[in-house]
Order: sequence, then C-alpha cells, then structure tokens
Amino acid sequence: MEATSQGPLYTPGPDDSARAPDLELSARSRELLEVLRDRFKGDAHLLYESAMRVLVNKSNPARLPLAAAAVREIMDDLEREAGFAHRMPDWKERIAKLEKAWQVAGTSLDVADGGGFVRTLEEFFEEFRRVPSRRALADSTICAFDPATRLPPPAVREARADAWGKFRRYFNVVLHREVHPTDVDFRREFESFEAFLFDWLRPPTSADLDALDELLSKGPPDG
Amino acid sequence: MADAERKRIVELIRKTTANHEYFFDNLEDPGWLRVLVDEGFFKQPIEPERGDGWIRYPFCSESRYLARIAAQAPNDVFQIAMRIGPTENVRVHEDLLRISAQLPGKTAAKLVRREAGWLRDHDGHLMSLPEAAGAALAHLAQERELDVAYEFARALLAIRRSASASGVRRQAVARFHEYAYGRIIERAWPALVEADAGRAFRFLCDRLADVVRVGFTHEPDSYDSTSSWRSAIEDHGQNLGNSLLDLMVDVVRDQALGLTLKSDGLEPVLTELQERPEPLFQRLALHVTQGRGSRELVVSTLTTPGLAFDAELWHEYGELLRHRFADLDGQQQDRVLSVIDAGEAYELTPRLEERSVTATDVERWDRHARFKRYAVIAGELPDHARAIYDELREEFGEPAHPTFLSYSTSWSGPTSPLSENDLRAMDPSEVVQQLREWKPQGGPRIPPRKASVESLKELWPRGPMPSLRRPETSGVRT
Repeated sequence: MEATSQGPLYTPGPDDSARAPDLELSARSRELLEVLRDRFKGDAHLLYESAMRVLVNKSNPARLPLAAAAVREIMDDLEREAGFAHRMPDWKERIAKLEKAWQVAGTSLDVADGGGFVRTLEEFFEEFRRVPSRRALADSTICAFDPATRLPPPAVREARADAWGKFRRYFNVVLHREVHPTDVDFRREFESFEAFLFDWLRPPTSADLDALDELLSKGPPDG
Repeated sequence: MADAERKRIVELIRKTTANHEYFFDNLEDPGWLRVLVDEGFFKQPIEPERGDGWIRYPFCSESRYLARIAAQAPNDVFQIAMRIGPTENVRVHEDLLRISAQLPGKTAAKLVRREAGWLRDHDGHLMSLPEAAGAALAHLAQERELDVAYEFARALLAIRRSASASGVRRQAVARFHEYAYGRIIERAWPALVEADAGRAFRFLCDRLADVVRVGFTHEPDSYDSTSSWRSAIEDHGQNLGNSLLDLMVDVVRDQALGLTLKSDGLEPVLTELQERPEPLFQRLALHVTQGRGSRELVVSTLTTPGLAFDAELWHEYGELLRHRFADLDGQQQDRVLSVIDAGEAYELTPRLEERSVTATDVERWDRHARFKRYAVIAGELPDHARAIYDELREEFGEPAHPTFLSYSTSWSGPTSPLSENDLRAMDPSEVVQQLREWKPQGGPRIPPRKASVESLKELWPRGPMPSLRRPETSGVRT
C-alpha cells in the first residue's frame, strides 16, 4: 500500500509482529526529512524518522509516548541549535549561596556585610530574570531559522510561538502518559506539527494566494 | 460556524509572512477593521532589524493598510493608531503621519503630538518620513491646529551640530538632506503663513538663527562668519550654494519679500529681522528695504550710523545704495553723501600699530572705503561728489566688483597661447617662430610652456592642409 499523509502508513501483515515494519515515506514526509537534514546540524531529521518508525509499529504498545518523546526532542534540539541552552539554574547551588550570605548578614551588624547580602540577592534575581521564558525560547528559535531574510511580522511570530507552545505541551503530556490519545488523534497532531514545520521551514509562498484572493473579494466574515 | 470560519481565516493570514503581507498589502476594505482588531492585529508593529554596523527599517503591511483606508474610516483608524505600541521602526511612524494627514484636525493633532515626542528622541535615519511629515504639517496648518503644527515642526526641522563634518559649511545640519528640508517648507509654509504670517516667519528666522549659531559662530569672541560663506543675500554666482545656510537664507528672504506684499506690509517683517542680533538678519533687512522700502525708509537706512561702513553688511548696503540712490531727491541724496563723506573714522589702535599699520595706511583705508561707496553710484553723483570720486578713482583705479569684499573667479587650463583661428591664419613658419619666442608671463592663469604647447597640439587645425607640419617635426623644443 502506498504511503500517504492521510491514514495509516502501514497495514499489519499476517505474521510480522516480531519484526519492525518497513517505513514507507510519503512525498511530504520525504521532503520534510530533507529539510530537517539540510537546515539543521543536529539530530532533528533522525528524531523525525524515529518518530515515524515508532508510529508505524502497531505492535509497540508505547508507540505514542515514544513518538511524542521524539517530537519533543526535535523541539529541544532546534532550540539548542538556535543558541538557547536548556540549562536551568542550579537551584541547589544558588540557594546555598544565598543562605550563606544571609547567615553572615543575620549574625553580623556590619553594614558592609548587609550590603554584600543585598548584592547577592540582586544577582540572584538578575540571573533568574535572564532565564528566557518558554515563549521567548520558542519565538527566538523560530526566528533564528526562518528562511526569509527578515523577521516575520509580530502577528505571524505570535501565532507561531503559540503553536510551538501548544505542540510542546501536547507532546509532553502524551510522553508523560498524562493523556492517552487514540492513534487517529495523535496522528492528527503529528501531521499538524509536520505542516507547521513545513510552513516555517519551506513556506509555500503562493499556495494560499487563491484562498487569500477569495477572502479579499468576499469581505470580512460575519460576527 | 462563524467562529470556526473566523478562526480559519485568521490562521490563514497568520500562517506565513507571505500570507500576512499579501493579505494586508491587497486589503482596501475598512470593513475588516473590527475583525482584525478583535483578533489582535495592529497592536505591535514590526521592529527594525539590526546587524553589525547596519539597521533596516522594514515596511509594516498592517500600518500601510491603515494609512490607505484612513480617509474612509478616520475614527476607527485613529483609535487603532493611538493604540499601536511604541516602536523604533521609522516606516511605521511614516504611516502614522500619513494617517494623520487624513484625519479631522483635532484627532490629527493628537496623533501628531505623539509623533513629535517620538521624533524628538529618535536619533537615527528618517528614510522617507520627511515627505509624509511635510504633508502632515500642511494638513495641521490647514486645520488650524497651529500649536501642534509648530511643536512638530520644531522637532522635525531642528538644527544640530554635525558629529562628523570637518568643514565650516557642513557643521550645522538638519535631520535630513536640505533638499527634503526645503520641500517641507515649500509644502507646509503657505498654509502656516495663511493662518498666522508672523508666527510662520518667526519660526523660519529662528531656524536660520540656529544655523548661524551652530555652524557659523566661532569662539572665543562669537565671531559670525556668514558674510564669508554667503556673499550676497540675492541669488548670485558668488554664493556657494548647496548648503543649509544657503537654503535658509533663500527661504527667509523669499518669505520676507512675499510677506511685505500682504496687508500688514513691510514694518513687521523689518522689525522681526532688525531685532535679531546676527549680522545676517541686518543684511536681509537691507535687501528687503532695497526691494520694498519707500524713499523715506531708504534714506533713513542709508544714513543710519553704523550701517554705511559696516564690513559685514557692505554688500547689501552697497546694493541698496546702487539700486535706490537714483530714486531719491536732491536733498535726500545730499544726506546720504554727507554720511559717505564723513568716512568710517578708522582709528589707529595699538593693536594695528603692533602690526606695523601707520596713520597713512589708515587714511588710505578710509579713502578706499569712501571710494567704493561712490563707485556704486558714480553715474548719479552730483558735480561736487563727482570730483571727489574722480580723484579717488585716479588713486585706486576702476573697481571691478565694488559691493563685494572679495570676489572669486575660476578658470580651467592649461590653454594654448594661440587659438585655432590664429593657427589657421598663420604660416607654419610663423607659428614656429612664435613658439620659439613666446615666454610665459607668469601668474596663476598662465600655464607653463610645455602645457601650452600640449594644448596647442589639440588645436592643431583639422582638415586638409598639406603644407602644414606638426610642431614636433619643426625643431621646436618644449
């Protein structure tokens, strides 16, 4: 059966449960694989292929969380490659430093030590503020790899950052088994993610022109 | 269903940069405003992009759409424009000014006031904003929102010191090229003059004063060098041109002359000019008096102590004398001549003596100063004055350009000592003889011998003259 982007990639055969099924890529998936391989230095393309291989293996009961994990890793990989290290602050070390300064300030009446404590507090909060939010990470990653030579308008950036955040949240909850979607529902989200990557990394500049022309001629929607 | 459709539409617009730009660049219907505002468009414009040593100001499709439809939905567009977030993108501010030029006066003023605040703080390039700014200014003037118009004009037309210029002429700069500066004045000032002529004229005089203060006033004694950089108030080949000083002198001059034709007449214009301390404004006043002054005013001006022999004002005083002396009656002319006869009363100061100047030199200067003044009215002098002038001309010779303190000419060369026609008329042996005997007389315009002979070759007659041979074969050594 020819693989397409609609419906299952694989129809299980009579007796092949012990063997991982072959992966047949649709033209779209092949193109996306090529984009991920050419545009990025990391493992995004391998993770994408892995996600698809896991998904087609219906005999694997954990295929959805594992595919979700691979997609989540694609997103982390791209954020890392954009220059945003996933280094969360070492809270233990920082709190220990703060505690030590506080002990000195608390037992000593020296104004200079009080000044040092305040300085440490300021540094603590300054470093905390420098840790980018998830949304800022998403926006910066998307802008860093936008194939256009200029920044997208804020409306497009916001929409993309929102979408990135939604995908991350969805694949996280699936990977952590907080939700248990069906194959169909998961496939729908997966394909949405593929479409998102396409629109971002290889935007079809004229594909929607007819639809936009129709919109412009029809006028605004009611309500 | 409507919600789902709306969501689909918004997702389509936001899907890619190309979709977003295509949609907004082709949208002409203000009916979309409510939907787009509800969906969060217009709030935050696209920001400038910066790199290593460069900055780019991208066009903003959303604000360009608003500028296109502002006239069709002024209230809605005004509300949206006022909610657009702060931005350093000059293109967006250009669009906001285009919007303001289509709004009713009060709302236009609110928007432009906000833009004036941004403009005061903005230090970068203004791209094509000056054109939109000129239109906004003209619109405010037509709507009689004068306070905001001038607040905006002060920010837009501010004069400042150049950070990079090395020459005097380019020290005082505007925020953009003087061509665009002139275009703004051309576009907006008729309406401002119509609304309040005095205020409009005063503003331009203030900008000219800024140019003088920033670019042409030199410490330690605040010496004003404008008479060196602008030889004549009128259009003249001696003016260097192509500078902010030249532009503003022309603007103030032309505005002044135009205003004197209005009902208020000459007096307010002259008062505005004469109350300013800078010599340039006194020169402008003299020029206006020459063109528009009554005989009584001309006499009064020509006999004002301090004007007749002030070197900084000499050109305009001299031209006033030249053009209007003949209009005066005998008594009036005598009054003027007695001022000239009295001379400048040069003083031999200790400082001059240190420079080896003698009393004889000072007396000669005084005679020369009087001579120049007689020279410009030589044809109108009565007999007694004519005699004095003839004596002085005997001493100093015919003056070439008496109303100029200095006069520049230019020349390009080297040039041949013989013209083509000379060569055609001469026998080759005569040419050779001339070249052998010719010696350059010296001076800046006389080229060296070799250069002259080279240029002679260029002029060597073309055409069939078989009896002629080229100089290099005739034994003439250069």
